[in-house]
Amino acid sequence: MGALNSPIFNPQSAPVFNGVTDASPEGYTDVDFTYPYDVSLTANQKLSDQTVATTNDADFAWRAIVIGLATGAFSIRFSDSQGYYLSNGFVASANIVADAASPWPVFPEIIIPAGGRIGIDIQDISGQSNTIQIAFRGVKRYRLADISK
Amino acid sequence: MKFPEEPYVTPAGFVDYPFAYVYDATSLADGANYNDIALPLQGDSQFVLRRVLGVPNVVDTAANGGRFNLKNASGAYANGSPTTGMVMPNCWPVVPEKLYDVNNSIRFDLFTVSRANNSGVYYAYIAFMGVKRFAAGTSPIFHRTPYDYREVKYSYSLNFQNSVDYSAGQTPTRISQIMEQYDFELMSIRIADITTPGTGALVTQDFSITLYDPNQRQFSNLPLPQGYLNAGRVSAAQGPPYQAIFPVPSMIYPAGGAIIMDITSLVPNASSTLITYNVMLDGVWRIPCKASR
Repeated sequence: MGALNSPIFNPQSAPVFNGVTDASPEGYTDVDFTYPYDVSLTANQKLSDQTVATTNDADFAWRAIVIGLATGAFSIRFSDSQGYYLSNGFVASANIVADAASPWPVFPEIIIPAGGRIGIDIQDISGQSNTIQIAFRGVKRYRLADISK
Repeated sequence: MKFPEEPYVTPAGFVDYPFAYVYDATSLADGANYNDIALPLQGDSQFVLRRVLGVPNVVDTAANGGRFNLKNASGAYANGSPTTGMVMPNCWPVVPEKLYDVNNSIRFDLFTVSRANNSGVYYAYIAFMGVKRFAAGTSPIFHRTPYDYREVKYSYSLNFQNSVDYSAGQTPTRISQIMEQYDFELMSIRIADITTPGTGALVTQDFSITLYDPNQRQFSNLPLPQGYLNAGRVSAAQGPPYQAIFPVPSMIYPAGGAIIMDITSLVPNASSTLITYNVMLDGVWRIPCKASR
């Protein structure tokens, strides 16, 4: 039964377009942020201990991965700021294919402290040169007293 | 502490209204970079940004260096490596949403512009979609259904032909659908070519649309390429290219009112290749029922 109301959401739409409740921890505010990682690999090249450095102004809550660009297949392994690997070996890029509207989720979120790093080991498996951009999506977590962003 | 699973609630004292701020990049120079572009808000409300649509129609392919940076309301970048920029898909969700205050601007950078076009007619537009957030007492008048009702699935279907060749400053073609009997809650718009039907919804940007609310207010500052509003799937296996659902939140059109759209041609030879399009206005009828109390 209807009430005398106007819609506050669209049931056909994804929750994110309707609005997602602010889930910032008490005393903090979360601000959408993305760290991109760009790399160009030669055929079958392997790079170890690559890093994406996080900025000093806020912790980063890493929540999703999006492969924005890859001209060929590759395999990859991630680690957090403490050197904790997220998998026991390299994972094929085909297994983390996603787009920005349905990213590959990192759950539960991984907190990368301010001035920390996301670690990456990566190898081309296409046998061709490979230009890649991976986006690490999440939020910067500011203390409320520090909020200036 | 709140949880993201909790229903979203507009802050007390405010009213949300679906809106898209559209940036017209059709006059930019291909191959150029543009830093700190400012798209000013209209000054009547705050704006809550929830998605960015259509960047690939404005910049070159990722392999050719097409990139984008978005900025927060403060002017700080919303991504790292701003000198390199982000590869952007058709739809970039913004989570958590970003709040831009009254009279602020949406700021962004473009790398290696390449304007999408139909034989020289450009449809290089970026849509920043979300809601206008009006303070109480300053918001548009929202229709409230003046009776108890039950909700019944319903869709309006209308056909039209785009018979206007593109020209600068053309007068748009107005199409409309009357709400015949009951209040109607519009939830999505789907558009298909029925002259040469494909596997699904229309994917080419044959025209742009200005959609109006029940009080004849535009839902966007500029017309939107049809794909940015078209929720139809490309095929059974492939969703809408821009994850386009609009309006969000949905909108009530009162009985006796009309859903009005202005159609602006983006095809240089539309009159010689007449195509008939079907528009499906999908939503819910609010059918009166006896009072339950």
